[in-house]
Amino acid sequence: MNEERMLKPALIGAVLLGVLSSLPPLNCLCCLWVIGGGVLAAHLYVKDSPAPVTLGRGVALGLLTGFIGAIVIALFSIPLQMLIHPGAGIVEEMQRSMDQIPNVPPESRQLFQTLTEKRGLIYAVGLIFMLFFCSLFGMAGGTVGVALFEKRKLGAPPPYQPPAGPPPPPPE
Amino acid sequence: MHSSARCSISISTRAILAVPWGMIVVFIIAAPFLASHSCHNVASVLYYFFFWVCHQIPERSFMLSGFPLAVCHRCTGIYLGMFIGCFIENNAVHGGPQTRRLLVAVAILPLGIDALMPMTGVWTNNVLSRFSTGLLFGILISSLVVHGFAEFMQDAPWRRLIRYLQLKGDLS
Repeated sequence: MNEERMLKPALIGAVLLGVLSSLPPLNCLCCLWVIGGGVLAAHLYVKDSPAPVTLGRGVALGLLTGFIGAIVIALFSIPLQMLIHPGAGIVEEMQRSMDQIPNVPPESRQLFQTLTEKRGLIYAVGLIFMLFFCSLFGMAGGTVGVALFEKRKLGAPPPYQPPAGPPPPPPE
Repeated sequence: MHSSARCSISISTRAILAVPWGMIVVFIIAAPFLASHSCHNVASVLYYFFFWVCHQIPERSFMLSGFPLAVCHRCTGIYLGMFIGCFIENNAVHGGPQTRRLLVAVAILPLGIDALMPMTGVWTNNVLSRFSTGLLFGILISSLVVHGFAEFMQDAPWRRLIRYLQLKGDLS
């Protein structure tokens, strides 16, 4: 089985994962979309595979889906944030996290304000976190997808497929 | 190629998966711990990153030293279960496709019912149900992922390259 056939299902799963994880009303559903992207990729891969797919393949596919999905999230959510909160989306959200903590001394608030101004750093660390997180849950999704959709037993021969071309001419 | 036969999974394979899940669990607990020890900046960065993957409603989160954990009850259960599941030998994953589907169903159904039933008004979930269904999901899915990861490691591209080089060396 070749690795190239993994790319298309992984891309489809990653786009679903990335878009749904970035949209504000839907992104509160924890890791559901990341697992869902992995499951979809596994379903597409199993459907097109002539041989039974192993859980190991599901892990590889899920890792790939999660990795690409994290990049899709970054590409999709940054412009979306700028659109929803022009100017200060990420700062507002980090401020919200800070507000969750009661009794924060003013010096800490000041220091935090300086930290939030370093947007490039925040985005870079955020991307690393998402790559790590999505790869892990993507892997879980790919494995779950193979477990759900692979109904053939390992070692079973692939189904017979008639040859694509015309039959060879009879010997003279 | 790979067998779904019962094989003992090496401790190193389990550790490779347990380390990232363990790191996530540590970060989740570290957020309130750091907040209660005046490290508000680091704590709010941790809260901010987990904001992307969880709703973080304080009423639906465990409290530590007066501060909520970085994720909700259900997510805490899932992450903890994923970590614990790395060390649990689950014989069901070595079974056939039907057994694996059953395993996934047992993992997903209680969590799905617990999450969706309150919307119908028939039943209200509580701390214990949210945490325990998340934990069950995490443990069962993690045991499946560990098995898939062991298969993936057996057939990883670098291993295939080593085998190929060994074979080439034998022939020449």
